[in-house]
Amino acid sequence: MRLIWKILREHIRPAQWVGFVLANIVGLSIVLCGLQLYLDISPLLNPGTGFMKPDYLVVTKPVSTLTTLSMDKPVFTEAEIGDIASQPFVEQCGAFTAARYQISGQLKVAKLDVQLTTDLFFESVPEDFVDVASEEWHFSPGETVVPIIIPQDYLNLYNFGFASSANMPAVSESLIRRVRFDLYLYGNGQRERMTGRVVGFSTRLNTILVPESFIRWSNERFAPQESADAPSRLIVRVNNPSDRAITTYFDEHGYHIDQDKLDSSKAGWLLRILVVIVMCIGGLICLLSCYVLILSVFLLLQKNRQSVRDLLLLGYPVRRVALPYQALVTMLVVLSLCVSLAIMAVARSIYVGYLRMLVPDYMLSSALPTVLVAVGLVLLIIFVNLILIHRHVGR
Amino acid sequence: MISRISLHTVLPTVFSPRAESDVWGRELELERGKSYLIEADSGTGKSTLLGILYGYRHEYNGRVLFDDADIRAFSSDRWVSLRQQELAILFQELRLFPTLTARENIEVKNQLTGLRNGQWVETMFERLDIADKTDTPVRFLSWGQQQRVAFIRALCQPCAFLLLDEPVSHLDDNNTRTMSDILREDQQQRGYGILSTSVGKRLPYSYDSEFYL
Repeated sequence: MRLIWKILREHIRPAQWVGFVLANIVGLSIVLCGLQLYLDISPLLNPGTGFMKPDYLVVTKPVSTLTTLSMDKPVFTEAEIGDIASQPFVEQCGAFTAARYQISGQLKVAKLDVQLTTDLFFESVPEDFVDVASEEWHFSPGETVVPIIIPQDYLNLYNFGFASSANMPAVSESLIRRVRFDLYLYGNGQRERMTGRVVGFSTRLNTILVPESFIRWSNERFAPQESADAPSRLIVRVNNPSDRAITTYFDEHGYHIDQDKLDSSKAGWLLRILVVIVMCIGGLICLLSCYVLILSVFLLLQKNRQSVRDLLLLGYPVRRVALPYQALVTMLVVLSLCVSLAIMAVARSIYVGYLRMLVPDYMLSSALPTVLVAVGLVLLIIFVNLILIHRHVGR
Repeated sequence: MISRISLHTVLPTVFSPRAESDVWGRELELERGKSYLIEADSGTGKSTLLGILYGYRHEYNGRVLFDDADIRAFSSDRWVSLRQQELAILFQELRLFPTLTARENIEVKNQLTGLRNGQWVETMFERLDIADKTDTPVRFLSWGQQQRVAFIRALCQPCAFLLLDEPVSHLDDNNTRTMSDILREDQQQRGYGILSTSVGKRLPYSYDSEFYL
């Protein structure tokens, strides 16, 4: 083998091979980094997790001046709800149910001799859609405490808008959770005093939310004769928020959805497209570098044609003459694989830092799929080269 | 092991039949253990004949049989095996590897067959008067010296037939005689057939038959 190598190594130009290795490292690194980045950010873009969490959409009908004047309510008919629920991108569809009686809330602060009273409204959604996990989130007839979830935005509005301009103290979530206030429910000739308590803050539902069981019970009690209104708001869980069919469908039907949530899903979609484009470019560089490799091997074989031919005439089988070149190519490709994996690991350690800044409890995805893809890709390159070298030598 | 090589009206495709040739277009049989000389003028296809028998020239009409097998049907694996076990050759153009030393050129062949030991190789270098050149890259040797290296290499494999293409064209009389002696001893020992060619200076040997190409 030593002598064969001594014969066949003639005409090897290191610069040529260094060129291939560098090009292949660049190509492979781009592919691997792209793939790993895709795997690492996918959990953040996917439904159910992460900071973009756009898996729930609240759907409404637009309110126009005409609607206001005609007193028409922007509600969904059963057929419309059925149609939305039957869309392939919809996993679950629920309606907001409103309280059909009067409610007023009263907060007394005895020490300051202050009494605040306001009219309220309540809504409920099916329990699956509630994004606040609280042990107090339940209601059974006979209980006097009503758990309430208010939008996070309300608190923000007070703390950062009203309180600072009115010289009032900002309040924390835990403080508000401790406050109990009176609720007066009127309807059906009855009046009842209950106690309200905020048990959570929702980023998903922009309403004053009470348990569904409470709405059912209270509507029967305070508004039994009124038939249930058609819902004016629907909440929809979609399987893939970046699905373009979602916007297309709602636009076509003239429904309104929370645009910011969809914007974030569009950002996710764009990010994926970008990653795929980057990976394609990496793949192309990889492919070109392999082409350079094959050309270099062929050129070398051509330059050493006489030696190759003489070895075959001496009785050396093709596989033994091809072996040194195959070993060389395999070594170079494996070298570029190792360097590319190292580059990917370094790049990953850098961008994971940024991801952790965005999502503090971010869990790293496994790098195994990327490593497997890299090994598969490299095995393919090696396999193609081994075949080509064997054929070329045999010729 | 091949015991007989038969040529049946073999003629290279680019040649026209010639009445005076004993080989082209004729029936010819070569037996293992015997020695043959092919005398030829330049350009009459002497190397082509050896190329056909060694399996790297295929442009000919007629049939060449190793025993009863037509060599056209041989696979490349069969040729590899023949070149390792049954056919030895000294090429006219020698086909040594210029970057290797004289000894390494021998090793390249001997590693494949394992026929000779280091002592035998040393003895051959000494007898052929190139012992001082064993570690010199062959590109620095004269053609005559290279011819002797190629001769030693040709003897480094088991064979049924040894093909020698103008083996002594660049040798002086002393070395020519030595080569003859070595060949005679080796043939007696191993019993192969010899087919030697010449365009003028012939290898002095007791040939069983001589043909004109």
